[in-house]
Amino acid sequence: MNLLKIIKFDLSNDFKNMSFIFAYLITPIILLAGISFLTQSYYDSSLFSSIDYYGITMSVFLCSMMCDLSLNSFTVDTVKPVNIRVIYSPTKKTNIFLSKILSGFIYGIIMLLIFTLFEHFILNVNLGGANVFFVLAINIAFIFFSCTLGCLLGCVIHNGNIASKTSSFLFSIFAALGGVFFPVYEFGKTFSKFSHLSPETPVIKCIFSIIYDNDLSSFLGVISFLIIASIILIILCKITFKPEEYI
Amino acid sequence: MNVLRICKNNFLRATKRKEIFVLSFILIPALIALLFFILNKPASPKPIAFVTSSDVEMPKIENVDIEKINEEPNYSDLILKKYSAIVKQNDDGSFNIKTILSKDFKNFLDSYLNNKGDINLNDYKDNKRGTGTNCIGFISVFILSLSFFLMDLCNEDKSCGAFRRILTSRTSARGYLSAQCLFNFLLLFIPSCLTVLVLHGIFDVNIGLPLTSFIFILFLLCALSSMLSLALSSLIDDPVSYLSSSLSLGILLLLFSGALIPFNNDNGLFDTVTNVLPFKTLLTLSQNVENGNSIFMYNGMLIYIVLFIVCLYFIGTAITKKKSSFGTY
Repeated sequence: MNLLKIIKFDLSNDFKNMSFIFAYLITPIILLAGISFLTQSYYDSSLFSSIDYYGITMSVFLCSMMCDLSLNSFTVDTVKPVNIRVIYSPTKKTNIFLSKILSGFIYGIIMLLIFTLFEHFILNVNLGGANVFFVLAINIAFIFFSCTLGCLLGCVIHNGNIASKTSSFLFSIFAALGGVFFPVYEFGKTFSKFSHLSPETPVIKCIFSIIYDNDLSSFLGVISFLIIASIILIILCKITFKPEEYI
Repeated sequence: MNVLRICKNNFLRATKRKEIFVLSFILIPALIALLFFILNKPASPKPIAFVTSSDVEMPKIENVDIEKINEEPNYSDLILKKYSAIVKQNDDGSFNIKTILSKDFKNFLDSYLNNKGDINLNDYKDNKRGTGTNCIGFISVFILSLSFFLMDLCNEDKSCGAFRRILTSRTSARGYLSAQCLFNFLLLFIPSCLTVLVLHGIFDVNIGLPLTSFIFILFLLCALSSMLSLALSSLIDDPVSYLSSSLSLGILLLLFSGALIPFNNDNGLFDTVTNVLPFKTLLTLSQNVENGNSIFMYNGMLIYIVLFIVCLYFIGTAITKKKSSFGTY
């Protein structure tokens, strides 16, 4: 099948590029180590330490960075000749952008699993014990959502430079508002109302309530929201995608 | 003259790429105004949740809100800092305190509510930085990121061959790079300076420091950012990898200088290593000025920062000249 061939090709390109490993795996690890070291005096480490907080939020941040990956495999200049060949081959229009989403999704899952294993065995972050599979499920759904959002940005904004700058800026704002770098209520109740704008807020809140309150009530709600939103974004991609714009 | 001509060329290029003007003249002022608005609010500690169904009142603590609720909130509310502590009264009249914040805070609450220990109310103070220094810390993130975006124009020139053509003309490599730095600096300094002037002069917002000191520190910050972006762009030629690696490096530098999260000088080795960073010196300088001293009392710090700026400029130009003499361009 054409779709599987293109996915295999995209994945092999992603794995060959060493700078992706630096950007999507090493950067969250360094941020996690740095920020949790700097904030360790704010928390009482016997009950809950800063590495427990930033371990969770940095894994959500890693999932959100997959948006950049699927966007770059679309629009960056080095893949332009490849894209031209794919567009002129007898491939369905849908398969072109779907392969970017799925290859970004598979790459994201592998990065997330490596990061989670690193956190669990080396940093001893509290990942919820038996509930760790629910946490992983939410993170995986969030990876899928970010990949579809990245793809939609690529379909709407045809210029690669502007699209990648927009997506990195947008996701930094989402991360700052959503509670990745500091807790949501840090600046007071008024400012925390802006956190509703970010898609990362419900994910982070749900993961903390699963791990620390053993409360699975919001799990189904958050996962169905992420999957339905991803399906809507894929439909929007199908409507807005025009292969001729990428030549 | 050629320096000014190259600067003018950059401005003309920027008019075709509207995102440059949008980022400098709309986004940076908006973010600075938002920062002053958020950070000027009095920093009160998060409310304490007092769980009781009866009419019992918890003793009042100065500057701390106490919310009376019927049901015990979730542990995750403590993690998200919705409440700084959950207090319940036991049958024998003592208070049971649950908090994840530092031991000092717990001991303070314990001593205040249960009369254990001799901690005075006034001894417990958060080690907060002043408004002005906090603003400079957060502004430095935006200014540094914007300077990397603007220096991207230089890398584009290198990748499309325009730099090679400029080298064959009468303009030297150093002249071209000075023009890029000047363009970078102007687009960073002018919008931020105007915003601060308008906020302080017209809207009377409290900026923490005296106006001239704030503008001078902003001047040093913009100069430092543009020289750092010059030095990094001379090391990394490819535009795409330059942007992503310089942004990550810049954020890490600012993080370890204490721009985003203030940290105490507890750990000797860590502080010795981070004291090298010029951003940390800049923030220490601004905190000292905010405490009421004149900026010219700290000539050592000023000289250190200016020296760093000059060194970065020479490093950037030397690396580019060496690369062009090897024929990279």
